[in-house]
Amino acid sequence: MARLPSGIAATLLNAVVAAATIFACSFVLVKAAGSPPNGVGPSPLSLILEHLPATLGLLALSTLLALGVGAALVSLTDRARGRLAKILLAGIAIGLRCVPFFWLALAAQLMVTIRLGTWYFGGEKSNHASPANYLLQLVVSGCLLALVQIPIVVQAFIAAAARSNSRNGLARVFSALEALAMRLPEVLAACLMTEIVLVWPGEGRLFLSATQVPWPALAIGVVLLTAVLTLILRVILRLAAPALRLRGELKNG
Amino acid sequence: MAKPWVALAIIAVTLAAIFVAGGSLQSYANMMDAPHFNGTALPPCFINSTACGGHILGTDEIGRDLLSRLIVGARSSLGLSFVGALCEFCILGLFVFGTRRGATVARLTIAPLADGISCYAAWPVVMVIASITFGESSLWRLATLSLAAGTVLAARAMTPGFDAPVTCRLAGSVIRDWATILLLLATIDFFGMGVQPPTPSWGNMLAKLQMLLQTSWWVAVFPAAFLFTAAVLLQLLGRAAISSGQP
Repeated sequence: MARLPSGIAATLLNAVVAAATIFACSFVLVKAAGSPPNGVGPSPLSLILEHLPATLGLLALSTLLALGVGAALVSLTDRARGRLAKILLAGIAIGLRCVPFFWLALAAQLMVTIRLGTWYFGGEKSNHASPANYLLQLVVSGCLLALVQIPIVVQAFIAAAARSNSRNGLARVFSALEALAMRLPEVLAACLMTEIVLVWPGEGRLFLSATQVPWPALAIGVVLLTAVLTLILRVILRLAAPALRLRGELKNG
Repeated sequence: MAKPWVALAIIAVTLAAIFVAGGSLQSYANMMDAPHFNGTALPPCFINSTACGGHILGTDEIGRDLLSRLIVGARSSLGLSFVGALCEFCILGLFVFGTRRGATVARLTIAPLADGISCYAAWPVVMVIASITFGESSLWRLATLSLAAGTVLAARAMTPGFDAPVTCRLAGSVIRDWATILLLLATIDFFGMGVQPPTPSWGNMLAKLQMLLQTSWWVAVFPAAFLFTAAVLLQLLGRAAISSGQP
């Protein structure tokens, strides 16, 4: 593997090349899609921005859940100190990676529907929308998305502990966030799927409608958004990581 | 050094067996079992041995044998994802060769490009390409989707923060990503943008998943179980190959 050049200037230069690559790929896709459909309506950008808060809210909740559950799992494994616990943890991680996520999401939705007798579809402003339904939908979607993030968080926690031989909570959390940012495309892909299947009113529903209509500019816009978000987070972390990691290790003594 | 070759030999033999079996079962897999079919999916023999009509895993909702469809589906699912994995292997192989010849050039050019491409979420990109090329000839389309998936995953494998694909670890890394491509293409098939019926694939067999889970669960569970098992086996094979390459 060729390591990226280090240093602030090199990181920024690399980010510019990466951003140019992202936009060039999207441009090629837009050109391949041909002319956009005629008609008057909202612009793709306004639609994407309108749905963005719901997606970010879901991501924030699932990240919090994943950090909490991941910390608990690692702490339990630390206490057990057994090889069996570690094998079990690795087995769960492989299992979660290998289950078709759309299948898992639909099964979860069906189970909740059967259990509660109802499912609040859409999250959109409709007459039967109640805050409790909205909250239930958010929590179920967050729990499902957290299943994708938990293996990443656990792996990062274990790697951080092995690297600095520490139990420093801050350093572990930072490592987990760094790992989540590096694998943000995977998390965002799962987020879009969760929104599609559990009818959460974020970018996922928008993306599915755009591919079915088809409205390529809108679909490519959603994909471009995921790439740009990832790149921004990666650049911030690459710039901040050395200082934060050093601080965590100093605190640790 | 022997382990990666053993893993590759196992994969080659399994793929060959699936292709031979799938080819001979193709016409049978699309036939309805008219004498036994009564309007609903026939259950597997281990649930009801008299009502199953001799179909070991039962039939789908229009009376086609599920086991033969799963074997034929394995051909499209594993075969197409293999094309993507092969594409990834070639890209990573060239990359490893390139970094040995000129590490600085790779550091300054290929690494930032890969960093950019790896920012894309894999299945949405493939879904966009699928929607753009929808209506084109089937084989070309499906190969394009598989190659796109392979390219995004290759870029991801080159990005710092992921396992370095170096020499014999490369094979293990690609085998693990084969599992990812398999699940990714199943997602595209599930949304009706990949392999088109009546040709079965493990993904498009799950298209009516929500309805089938309530009425005839075996039609919704077996394709998912095959997908899961194949993905787990590929992950474990990949891990074994990677660990064999470590000092």
